[in-house]
Amino acid sequence: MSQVSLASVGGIGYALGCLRSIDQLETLSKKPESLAALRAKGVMYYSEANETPAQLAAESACQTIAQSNVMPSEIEAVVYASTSFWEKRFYSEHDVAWLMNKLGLVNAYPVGVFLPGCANAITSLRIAINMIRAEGCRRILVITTDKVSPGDSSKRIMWPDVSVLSDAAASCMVTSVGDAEFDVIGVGHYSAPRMWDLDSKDNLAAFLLETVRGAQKTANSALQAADLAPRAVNRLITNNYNHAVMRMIAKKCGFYEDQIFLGNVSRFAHAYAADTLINLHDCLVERPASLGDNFLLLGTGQKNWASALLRKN
Amino acid sequence: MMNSQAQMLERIIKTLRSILPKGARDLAIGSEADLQMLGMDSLNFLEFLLALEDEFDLKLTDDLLRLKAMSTVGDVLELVGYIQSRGSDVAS
Repeated sequence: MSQVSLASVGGIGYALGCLRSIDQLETLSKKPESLAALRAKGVMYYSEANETPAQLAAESACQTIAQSNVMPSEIEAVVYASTSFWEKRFYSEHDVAWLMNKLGLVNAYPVGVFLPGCANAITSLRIAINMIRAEGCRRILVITTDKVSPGDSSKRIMWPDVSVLSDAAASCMVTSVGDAEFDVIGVGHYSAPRMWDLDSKDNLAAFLLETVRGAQKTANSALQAADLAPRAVNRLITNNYNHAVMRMIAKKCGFYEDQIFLGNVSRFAHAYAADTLINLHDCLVERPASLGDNFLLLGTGQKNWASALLRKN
Repeated sequence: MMNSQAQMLERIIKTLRSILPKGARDLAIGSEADLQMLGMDSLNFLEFLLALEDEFDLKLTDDLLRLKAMSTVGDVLELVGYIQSRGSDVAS
């Protein structure tokens, strides 16, 4: 199978709230064993934002537009992803129009993505790629933004000891092939609707096993599309759960543990779908990519997974 | 307990010991042992399931794992025994 570039991606921006120690979470202070388990896996801080998801999105998107050397009026679509659409306390139907107006997107059309959970960013990338390839669009802004409902700190914890949720947004520009920092050379996706009633509280065994299997299938799907073996990938970029879970995902998907980027776990833990893009950005700051380097993005949502293979231009 | 079941229990415990945190590996473990009380966290538990698949050449599907919550070593023994008794229609 030959490698075909599907579209290009670049201009990654992101916005976090205030970084706070997980020690400050009231719900964890009552469960010292969970606090200790999280800290042992590298989870130290989380992001708490006063801004709404749309305001976080605006902050991130401004960075993306500035870095992409694109006029806002040239952007033809906004793929806006958020699990927080479900949260009526800080989402309104006016948010996306407010955001587009603030960014000056006078020729863009909004598309919403909200079902794949923490795989939202990569699913949005896939939708943008398809708009470029099927409709001939040239510049699409992808934004993912989320925030935990304020007031109940237990909602931040992924029980029993997986991670702490952070408020954040991240964004990127998807363009025609060769126009940005990376070409997308493979995408993958997988959904397991049979897991609809599984969660980590009621059936941890089935939930964990199916989660790992979904990651395996989805990583393989993008690798096969690009005709690459795991060893040909320079860095694996996943959601930012904790060191142990991320190493386990890497291992079970056929990667060496040192291929996965872990540098942000202690900094802000799990920022919904935004953390895949944030991790890619910060991974490149830590170790700049060379021409031809490959990066596999792997997003794990609730019952849905998505992957994308990027090659440095 | 039948001999084959005793052997199965022994293999389950051996697999479990290879996954347990170092401090718990030398503890006496019987069928009544509670997995959480042995210090298993969610990740250890996942590793244990994957190791059981290798040890017994099984595929633990979500349908099978829904049959019984696995809190104790005895629960694991019951599930593995059930899968093996059903033979090739559920084993890999």
